Amino acid sequence: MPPRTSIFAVRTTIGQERSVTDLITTAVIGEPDIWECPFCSEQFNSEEATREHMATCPKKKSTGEPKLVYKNPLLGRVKAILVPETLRGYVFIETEEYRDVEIAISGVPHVRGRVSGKVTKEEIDKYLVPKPAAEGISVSDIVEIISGPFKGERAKVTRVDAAKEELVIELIDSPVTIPMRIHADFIKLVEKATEEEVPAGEAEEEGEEEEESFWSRS
Amino acid sequence: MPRLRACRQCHYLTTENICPNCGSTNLSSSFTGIVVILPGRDPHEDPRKTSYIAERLNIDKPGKYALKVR
Repeated sequence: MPPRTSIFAVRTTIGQERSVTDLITTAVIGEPDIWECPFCSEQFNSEEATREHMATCPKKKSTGEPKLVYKNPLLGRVKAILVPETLRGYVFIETEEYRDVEIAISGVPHVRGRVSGKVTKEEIDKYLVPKPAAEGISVSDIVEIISGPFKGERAKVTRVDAAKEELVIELIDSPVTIPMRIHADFIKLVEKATEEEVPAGEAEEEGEEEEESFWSRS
Repeated sequence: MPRLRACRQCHYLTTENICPNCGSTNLSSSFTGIVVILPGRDPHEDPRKTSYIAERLNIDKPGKYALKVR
């Protein structure tokens, strides 16, 4: 039988997704149920601990049952929290009902609001199985570097290593073309290569070879 | 605060040098995405039976996991 749960999206402050996740996690697993001894009103975290105490309670009477004072409303109802860092500012919560989300996020800082409606399983699958980073990038595409010392620079792809998810790129603005090896996670596709651009890239490579032969001659 | 690292084998997130989930020492500090699988009322229950996300990612123990590990 498939699990009968629904997934809801919660909007958060960008960059605070992890702290929201940690606080919801604490709300779910950090608060135990509270049981009370019927004779002396002392409180315990579990039914067993209360029964153990009742056996030796100084105010013990003949009959009595442990009293459940507070039951954690979230434990067992909130199943999972998903933070796909590719979608900034959103956290997905898998719960049994919508009101569990309301309870879970009440009082949590950096929560900006809820998204109405359920998130379909197909939409969630896109985040659960991330597609290979090098997919859709081919030789002589223009890409932008989004992380590291060359952040913000544009570059041209000269080789794609799909197995390692690595690319060999050359910076466009650099006067000397230096091939660089970079992980495909750190680049963003800006422009797909047009058909005419491919031979241009090959011509560039030939130029490089000539340069090498010049140095070998000297 | 010690940095979280993800186990390359089971994707479990930990601050220690050995993965407490599978005992592997192959940890990576470069990961993206977090999934928290929360325990049910019975702590030994299999989360795959109750949670769609756990079922999809094949996670059999509650805890904090990375989505993608490099």
